[in-house]
Formats: sequence, C-alpha cells, structure tokens
Amino acid sequence: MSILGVLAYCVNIRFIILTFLGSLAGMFVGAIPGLSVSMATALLVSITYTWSTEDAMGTIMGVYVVGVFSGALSAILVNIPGAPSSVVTTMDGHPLAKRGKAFKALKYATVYSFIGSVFGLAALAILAKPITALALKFQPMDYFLLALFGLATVGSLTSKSFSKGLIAALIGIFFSLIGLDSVVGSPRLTFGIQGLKSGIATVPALVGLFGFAEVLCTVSDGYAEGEVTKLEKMVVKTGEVLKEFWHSLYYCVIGTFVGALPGAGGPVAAFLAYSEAKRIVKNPSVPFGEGAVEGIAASESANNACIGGALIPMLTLAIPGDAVTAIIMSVFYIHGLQPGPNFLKTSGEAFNAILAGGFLGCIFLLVLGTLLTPVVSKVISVPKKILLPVVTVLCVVGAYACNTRMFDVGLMFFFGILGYFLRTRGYSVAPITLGLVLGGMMDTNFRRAVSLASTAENPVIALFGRPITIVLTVITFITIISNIPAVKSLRVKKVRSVDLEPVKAESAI
Amino acid sequence: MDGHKKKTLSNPEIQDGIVVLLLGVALLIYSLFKHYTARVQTEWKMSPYLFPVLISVFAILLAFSLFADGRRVMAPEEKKKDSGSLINFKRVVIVALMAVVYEILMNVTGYIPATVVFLMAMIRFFGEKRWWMIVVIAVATSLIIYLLFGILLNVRFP
Repeated sequence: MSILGVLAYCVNIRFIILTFLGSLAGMFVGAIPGLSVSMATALLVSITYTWSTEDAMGTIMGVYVVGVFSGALSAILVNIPGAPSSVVTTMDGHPLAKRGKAFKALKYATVYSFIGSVFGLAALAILAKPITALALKFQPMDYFLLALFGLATVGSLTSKSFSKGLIAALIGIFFSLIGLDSVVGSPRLTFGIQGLKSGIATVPALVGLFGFAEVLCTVSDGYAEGEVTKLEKMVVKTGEVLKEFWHSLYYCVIGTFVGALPGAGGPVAAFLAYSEAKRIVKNPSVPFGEGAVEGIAASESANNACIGGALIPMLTLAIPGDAVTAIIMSVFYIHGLQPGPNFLKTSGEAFNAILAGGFLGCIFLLVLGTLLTPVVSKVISVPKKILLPVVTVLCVVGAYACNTRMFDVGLMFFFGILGYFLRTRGYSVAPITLGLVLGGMMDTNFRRAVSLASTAENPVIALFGRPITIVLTVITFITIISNIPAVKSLRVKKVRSVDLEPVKAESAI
Repeated sequence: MDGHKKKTLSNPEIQDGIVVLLLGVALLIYSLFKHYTARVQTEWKMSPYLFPVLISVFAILLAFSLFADGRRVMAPEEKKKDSGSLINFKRVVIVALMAVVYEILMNVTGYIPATVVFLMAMIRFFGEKRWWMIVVIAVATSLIIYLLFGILLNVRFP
C-alpha cells in the first residue's frame, strides 16, 4: 500500500463520481426497509462485470460504507434495521426518535459511523499484518467459543429474561443448520422439502423477521392510522456530539477486531460495544434502552469500524469477514485476482482502490448523512396506511430478488409471522439473527475442533488448553453464569447490603 | 388445587417452557433417529446431527429455566381479552392472509398487476378512502419498484 497510490484514486474524477454514485445508492438501499447492502452488492457484481477492477471497487465500497451507515436511518426512524449490524441502534435510536429527537439520533449516527468507518479503514491500512497474525492463531474451538460468547452477550442484552434471549438464539442456530451439511454434504433437517436443501437464505429471513414482523406488530398495536416518526430539525452542537469521541475510539477498536474475525461481523461488534458502553458510561444522558445517545455512538462506531476489519481476513487470508466481503471476494475472482497472503504484494493497485473507495465513501457518508437525511426521512416518513403496504411489497420483492425464487417469499412470510409471535411473547428477534448468521460457522468449527481433539492424547487439553481458548472459555462462562437469575439476584443482594452498610453505621452513631 | 394448576398453566413462562420442552425433545428424538438410521454411518464427532443434539439438550435445559422463571414471578391474573386486541389480532391475520394471496397472485398474473391489486386492497384496508389516491399510490409504487429492481438491478419478476 502506498499513500500516493491511494491519493491518486482520490483525485481521479471518474473514480470519485463512481464512488459517489455507489454511496448515493448505498444511502437509499440501506435506509429503505426490505433492501440490504449485501443484496445490492450481489446485484452490483453482475453490473460491474465488464468494468475495471478499480472502478468496480470504488462503486462497491461506496455502497458498502454508506449502506452500513444508512441502515441506522430506518433503525432510528421506523425501528426496522436496514442491516443486522444496525439492530443495536434500534434499542436507543428509535426511543430517542419517539421523543421527537430523531434529528439528534441521526446526527450521532452519522458522526460516529464516519468515525468508525475512518478508523476501520485506517486500521486496515496500518494494522493489516499484525491483526492477520493474531487471527491466524485462532483455532476452530476459538471461533466456536467466540460465536457462543457473542450469542450469550446478545441473549443477555436483548431480552428481559436471559432464558428467552438464549432460546431466541437457539431458534436462529436451528434454522442455520437446515440444508446441506457443510462437512459431510448430506441434507439435514429439510423434512423432505426440496426448497430447504439449499438452506435458509439469510436475506428473506432477515426481511421477514425485521420487515414483515414489524408490519404485523404495528397492525397488532392498533396504530395503523398513526404517523411514523417525524424528523424535526433541531440544534445539535457538534461539541456535544463529540463528547463520546474518546469512548468511540474504544468501540472502534472492538469493531475492527471483531470485524477481522471471520463470521463475527457487525452485529457482534455492535452488541459488544453496546455492552461495554453500558459498563463504562456511568451516567448516560438517559438510561440505556430509553434513548441514550451513548448507545447509538457505541453501536454505530463499532459496526462501521467492522468494514475495515472485515476486509482484513478477506484480503489477506481469503476468508470473508461478513456477507458483503464474501460478495466483494467474488468480484476479485471475476476479475482474475486472488485474495490471500500474497494479495498485498501482487495486487497493490486493487488494495489502493479499496482504501481510496472506502475513504471517499466516508466523506460521502458525512456529506450525504448531513444533507440528504431529511430527504431520505421523507421517503420513510409517509403515513402508515401507505407505508405499511409499500413495506410489505418491498419485503416480498426484497425476499424474491436475492435468489429470484418464490420459495424465499414464503420463507419471508414464515419468519415474519414467527417474529411477530415471538415479539408478542417477549422474545427479541436480534438473537435469532445472530444465531442464523453464526450457527453454520459454530457447527462446522465445533465438529472440526472435536474431530481434531479426538486424535490427541488428552482431548480436553487439546480443546481448551490454549491461552486464547482459555480466555474465551472464561469470559463466555462468566457471561453465562453472571446472567443466571439466581446468581443475578445474589449480586443484587450483595450490592444492596454494601449500600446499606454506611446507613447502618450512621444510625448506630 | 385445580385453581393452582389453572394459574400455573396460564403463566406465559410455563406455557413457553412446555412448548420449548416439547420441541427440544422432538428435535432430540429426530436427530438421534436420523443419526442411527443414516445410510452411511458416521462417527458422532463428524455426524451432521451432533449440533442439533446439542441444541436440543440446551433447549430442554432452557425449558426448565423458563419453568423456574415462571415459578419465581407470581402468575399474572387472567386478563380478559378486550375487544380492541381481538380486533387487532384479526387485522394481523387478514394482513398476513392478504400477503399470502399476493404471493399466489404474483405467480398467476405477474408482478405489476398483482402488486397494483395488492396495494389497492391494503391501502383501502388501512383506512384510505380517496380512491384516486389509492390508485395513484398503487400504480406509482408498483412502477417505481419495478424500475428499481426489474430495470436497474435486472431482477427477473415472475
């Protein structure tokens, strides 16, 4: 990577225009419920087939960077995350918008998405080699434990009951196991249904869980005649927004690191950062989950930092960090490039184009996020009696467009109805998403780990004896144990007794 | 005693626990059956049903955890279903059914006619009374989405 090489792309008018067009497309694709960045990127592969690799990279990076950010727009304004990584943003973004402070929520999302994206890409440029060295040390058991830790964290964060959070995660894992088994290659849990042989496609499931389920929940709440969250302009001082800057750097580190680990992408990073924000921010503006801007800053800086992080294993190990990087990798293959350990040496130009497209995308994110948000919000802020039917059509078309098969539309309806029933019974759909995305990876890595350990002299040491594995096992164990209701109530009692001691002492005097 | 039993069964956590327990047991039996009756026998460590078995065991444990949660919180008094929530539930069922009919219609008539009819029916159902508005929105939305997906993104509609 050479700074001059990156700068050369940044002043190339054609490259700038293509990246801008990609960013503009990303802004709407990410914001409109039912459309996803991965779907748009997949469709872009066929469009950019005849383009040069550099032009294709510029456009795709524009869609990727701005699309991941604009998922937060629908998360804040409609409570439907545009991407799984924006799930956490709904927790505080939408409550804040409901209080009439949607503009403030969007400004935080824009600024911290920008900071996260720049940080992640800078990390890709500077730390690609050291992070790759660390990621290379991960064994199958570590990937399994990392995913388990992510699910335990999600389960504890998203539902009032830890059991319900874990059950939701198990539901997601169950659905991820349907289809051809990745190790043996035989169909599993398909129950004789032909359409299930290729597995549950993620896009229809996500569109159903977040799009169609939201439509049904809104109808069920009886607010069909109401208006969606309005965007009223208000003065939000930049100094006030940047109060979370130093914390955000920490969330960016989490995002970049998690992004660099294959399989664990934006959703895990956002949840981990949110969990850390709850720990380190002692006095949030309002309690977390009720519209705390600190929560938006954590989620958005971490999930956007994942972009740079996710590209690290894709470029250096040929292992995509998430769905979008998997699609970007296919662009490389189409153009005859080979990602992997030698990529930086042999395809320096493509690497420069990725960085330049990414950094330009960050600038367009800031510009479009500031200037275009009111326009985008108007696209979303239409009366519910119009929005709900249109969202339903977008859900149907979005589910269909990915693989152009009607079976996926049926799947979308199934997941929508399932999501509706689960939500009415107090289950969060976020753990289902994570289980769905990580389940296959957990299954493959767990079996690989068990298979490798079975040939060792001491299988237990082979499974858990490595320092990274010990650390991951301990933190996963602590997360699970500390969330068991009995242990939780013990901790609460202990805290109360500590709080009461000085009072007792004072009354004795 | 009967009253206590009724109170226990009306507890949502207990109800959910029963469903999760049944599903967990069903998945466990199914996975064990599939593993042992597979044409090509594999060791458990490589079996496609190893992870489903693990999930089913976790599900059974979590079902008991839900039972414990249900016992810890006092069983809520039976809520009389008000007519409003019943009407809303009926609306949910109608919307879901309309969406399914739309999917079927799309296979028969193609994307644009099915979408126009579906949108008109839905917008009318949600309370819009002005027919000109209904028609304009239904036609315009169908065409914009067709332009976006069908023309720009090359999606082949049925």
